[in-house]
Amino acid sequence: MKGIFESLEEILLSRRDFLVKLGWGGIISFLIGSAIATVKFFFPRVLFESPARFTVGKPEDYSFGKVNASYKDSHRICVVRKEDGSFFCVSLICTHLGCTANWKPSEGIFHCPCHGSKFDRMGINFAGPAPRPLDRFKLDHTPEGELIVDKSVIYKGIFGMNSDVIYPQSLLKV
Amino acid sequence: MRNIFKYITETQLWKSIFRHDYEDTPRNRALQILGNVFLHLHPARITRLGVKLKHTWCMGGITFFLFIILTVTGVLLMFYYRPTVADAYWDMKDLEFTVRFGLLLRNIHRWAGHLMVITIMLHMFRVFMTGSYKPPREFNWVLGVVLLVLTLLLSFTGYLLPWDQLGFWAITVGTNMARAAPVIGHEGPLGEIIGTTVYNDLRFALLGGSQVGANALLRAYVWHCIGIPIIAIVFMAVHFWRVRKDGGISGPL
Amino acid sequence: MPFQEKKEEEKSFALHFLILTFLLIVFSIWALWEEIGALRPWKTYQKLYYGLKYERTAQELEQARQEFKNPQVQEEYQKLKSLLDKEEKELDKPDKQKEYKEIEEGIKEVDKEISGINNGLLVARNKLLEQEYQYKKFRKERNKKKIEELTERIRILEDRKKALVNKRDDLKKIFESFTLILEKYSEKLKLFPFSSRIEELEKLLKSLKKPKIEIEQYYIEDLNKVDRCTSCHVGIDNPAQSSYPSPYTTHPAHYLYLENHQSRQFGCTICHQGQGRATSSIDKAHGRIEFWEEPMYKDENTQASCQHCHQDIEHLKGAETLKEGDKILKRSVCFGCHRIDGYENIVKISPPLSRVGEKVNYTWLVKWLMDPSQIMDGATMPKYDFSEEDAQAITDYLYSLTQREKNDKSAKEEIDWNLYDRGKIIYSQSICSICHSANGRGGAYKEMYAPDLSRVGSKVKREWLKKWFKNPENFFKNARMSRYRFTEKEIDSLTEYLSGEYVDWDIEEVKMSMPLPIEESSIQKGASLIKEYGCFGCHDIEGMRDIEEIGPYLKIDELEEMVAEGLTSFGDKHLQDLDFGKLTKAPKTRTDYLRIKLENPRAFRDDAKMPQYNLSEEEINALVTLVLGFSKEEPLVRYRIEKEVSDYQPTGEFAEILEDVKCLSCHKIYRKGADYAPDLSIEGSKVKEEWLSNYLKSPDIIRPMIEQMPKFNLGRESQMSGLKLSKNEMDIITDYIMTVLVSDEIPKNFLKEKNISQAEIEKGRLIYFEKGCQACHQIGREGGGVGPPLTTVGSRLTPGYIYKHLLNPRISNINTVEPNLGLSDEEALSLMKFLSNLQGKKKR
Repeated sequence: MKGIFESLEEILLSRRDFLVKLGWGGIISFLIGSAIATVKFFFPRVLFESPARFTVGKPEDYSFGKVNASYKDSHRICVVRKEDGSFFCVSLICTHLGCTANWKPSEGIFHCPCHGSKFDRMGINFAGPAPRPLDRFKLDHTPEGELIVDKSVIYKGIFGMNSDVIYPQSLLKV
Repeated sequence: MRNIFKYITETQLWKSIFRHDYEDTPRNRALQILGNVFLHLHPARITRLGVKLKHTWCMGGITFFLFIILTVTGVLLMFYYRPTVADAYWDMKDLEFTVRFGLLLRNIHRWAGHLMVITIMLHMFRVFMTGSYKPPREFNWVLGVVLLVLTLLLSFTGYLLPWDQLGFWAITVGTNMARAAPVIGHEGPLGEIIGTTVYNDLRFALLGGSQVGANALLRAYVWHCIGIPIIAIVFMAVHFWRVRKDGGISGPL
Repeated sequence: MPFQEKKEEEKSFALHFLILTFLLIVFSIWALWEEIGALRPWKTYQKLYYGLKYERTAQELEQARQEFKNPQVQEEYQKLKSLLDKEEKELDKPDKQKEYKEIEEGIKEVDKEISGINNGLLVARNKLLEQEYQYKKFRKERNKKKIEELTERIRILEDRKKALVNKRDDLKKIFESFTLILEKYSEKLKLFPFSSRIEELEKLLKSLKKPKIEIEQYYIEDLNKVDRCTSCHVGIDNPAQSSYPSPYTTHPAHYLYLENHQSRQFGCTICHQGQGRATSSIDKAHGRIEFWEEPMYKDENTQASCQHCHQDIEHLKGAETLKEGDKILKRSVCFGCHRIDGYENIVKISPPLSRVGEKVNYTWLVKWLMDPSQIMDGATMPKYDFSEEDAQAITDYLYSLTQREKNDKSAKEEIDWNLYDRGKIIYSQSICSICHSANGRGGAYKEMYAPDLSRVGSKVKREWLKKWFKNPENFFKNARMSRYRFTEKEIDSLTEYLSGEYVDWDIEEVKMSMPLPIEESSIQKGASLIKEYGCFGCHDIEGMRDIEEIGPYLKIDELEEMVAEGLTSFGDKHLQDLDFGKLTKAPKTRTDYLRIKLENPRAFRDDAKMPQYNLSEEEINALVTLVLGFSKEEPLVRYRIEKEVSDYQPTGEFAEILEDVKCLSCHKIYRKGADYAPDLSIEGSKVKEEWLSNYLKSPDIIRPMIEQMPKFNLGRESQMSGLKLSKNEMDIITDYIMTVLVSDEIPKNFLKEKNISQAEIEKGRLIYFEKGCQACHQIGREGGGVGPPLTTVGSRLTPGYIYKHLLNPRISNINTVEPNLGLSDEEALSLMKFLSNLQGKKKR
């Protein structure tokens, strides 16, 4: 009995350095692993938000030169059809402090209720504290012929610039 | 370079935020040891029996360790759990299905919870067998019993949170016991005479309603995550402090 | 003790430390392996899928490249490209470039100016807003003045801006003219057939090289459903993936199910059941685990879910199993014993029994009760496992309702062969075999549930049969058999034929030779048996009409009632509410419960009352499918499609005849009635009056034998019909059809000219053969037999109807198999003229 214990101890002592390093190495790698796992834990795999890509009906549903605000509540966007028949999708998030701008059909402007910024129908700011025109999102059509908005592609409005000119790809011709 | 560093570290602003050395005098050394909370937690002296594993089983320490594990995993679980009727069950399921390491965390939390009750029992058994409940330690025994009850309550309230059939009926049955409490339970002795009904007795206060519903779930959640842990921490502090005051770990006095 | 224990502080815990560290590492690796691989099978599925898709796309790309390399295609492509190159070179010339740059600069300068003015405008407008606000609040003159000033300034600035914008537009036009041709060519090049396809495929291939492996889900907020099925079934919603292996293959009948139910609107589990959120194993996802009450439906059982929204399953496409189940349920009269909401107004096919003593022979009834299918083919009554004694007791009770003694009438009486022969002719003239089968023939119209006549001679008594022919409603108010206006002699003949021809000799052997008295104790026993087994649920029995159904409720639609009385429909029942009784080891799902119950109703408990229905496996599956869907899926209520209820009410004397002949047992008028015979809703516009009255007198063959209308002997004097009418029956029917059952869409007197020229007829004939009409229709003796023969169609149908029908064959029957040929108006007109001319031999 005693012999076994002693010999075991000898082995441990003779390799003490190595084993201690191994032991602590294991603990440290466990701690690092746990830290990484915890960080990973904070990145959810699934989201319950409204998807970035969504369809907004067929081109026939839109009349020429009209702003369609029916997706304002659900997605904070407006789909605009210009006089020449092309479409673009304008974000209603005010470039001042991020409230949702309203479409006022009687005046033909986007008006933000928070600080009174005003944008014309092309989304260009012309009054109020908003520093730049409204952003645009990518608009495309599906193989089935429906319009689809992709909110992950943003065309950022730049002060003094017409988004039609700097982002010709934001216009969809059907 | 060194001068600049020295200048910065000696400004009032720096000193008021970061820790700094004191002048190296014997007095300051002593103060530093006395003022360090972590060093202070350790007893100044310990009996030989106290460190012997065979004697203490370290059960109290293991229980406290489990409490810490439960706190850490519990806080992490709270990030993905919403205590509402519509979401609770699905959040619990999604912990397994979508959250990274979610199932691991949930299982650790659950097993640690079960284990904690067991280790407390073993701890009490050891304390009883070594006669450590005898004076002057009898008050600490009482504190320990209170901590046992708090642990059981933690287990009990945690049971409802998955919002599954098991938890639902366990809480229904469990809180029904409160009906029979004297005076404050509507089915208990004297209850009817005083005018206790389903809508004003102890069970009503526990559930926030007459049946297990959305309020009961929220209450269980708040008690489980905030209420009982805070109370338990206070009692634990006193418990540990009394160990020291009563002459160290379980040695003969 | 030789072994001296060391002091505590001198002991080494290195070994403990090492072992524990080792365990820690092992468990950490285990946890990591579970997290990354074992719990996430969808990762493997997606990797395999994208690998497969990559392979197939690469193949497609290779093919497209091959086609692009085709010298002919290349030649055209190069031609276009060289043109483009030439234009590009043109533009690259120094002088052109200089011009080009100059204008570009010009535009930039103007833009800068505009930008400056815009800035000024913005500032001015903001000042204006401020002043307006101030003025509104304090009403100071100072502010008003400033407002005027600012407005004026804005106006000036805007004018300047307008001028600049115009200038810019002009410049822009010139600028664009440089690249106009260039753009046209490159556009053309882009649209060049194969190059664009190749580009598209290349892009796809590139995206497939590093696919995103992640959980995919449908989140249907309003239904509170999260379905992650597409994490493994990648692209199941893509109709182009039908050649992919499972689990990636396209959803079966995609065009029917998914096109009409967008997956992002409904998800998967709303129809299929299963645990939509689960991603950690196949069994979990499909719900085949303990405590998950809704495992995924197998195959056709999925149709059960259609009923959540579709109330009218009879006309629902893609719900064939459900329709089958519906038929079986009606045939088996399940709603006799079970409460099934929605079926309460269905007429029970079970005959009333209050006067059954007058109708059938005693011995026959006893045998029938013991096992109906033994003595009648296709008996719809189930088997109750009654002993002979029990069966006699029930028969005694039923007999006691009309008479004092039990008796049999032998079929072995002398047969009058004269009458027998005549009866045989009447039997075939009246086309009894459409509904009734006998000796394995006939009975095509199954939904009529007419009894098999193979051994009817031994079943019913002759006197009863005569009374029945005279007027079926005397015995059975809801009888679906028409009243043929037979003469007494005809009735005698038919009775003679039926009871002489169709005899069960086994029963004849054991029939009683003389009447016996009925014992009172037996009657009592019979009554209690009837009450116990709930015979009154299906059959009308004197004195037992108001007793409630004896079976458990299967479907309850009234939500308030459900809550108040704690009732549930079958599909909403929890597993713990289903008593599996003896079968402790049976798989515990609702589907299995129903299947076992229908296979053997006594499987769970020996004293169960439900009888044996002798259903085939497919029939059981269909019925299971139907009953599984009896549930209340609350969130889906707003998608409900209610059953269309017909409010058609026939009027006047026509209504009486309609009732009497029971036209609606086969025909349909304004969505009321059955589908066996043509819909009569627009019959008045469809057929010619002359033909109609002739047809009613003696129905011609339009369709094959089993679909031909029987001769009801309409127009015979009132003592045969039992109706007191103002004029001849046929005139009433003809008048009603010609005046009421007409459609505004079909023009009256469409073809005015009397004589159609031969040339026009020829033109129509050409179209007839060109379009291949002869493949299905017959003229004379030539042509196919799918559609009705057209030899005399001109005398039958009105020109207006033919014309409209040719343009849209579904105008009268929406389920017709006739294709819409897409004829032009002119073609239809010619074809109509040809068909209208097919008058056949004119009757003089």
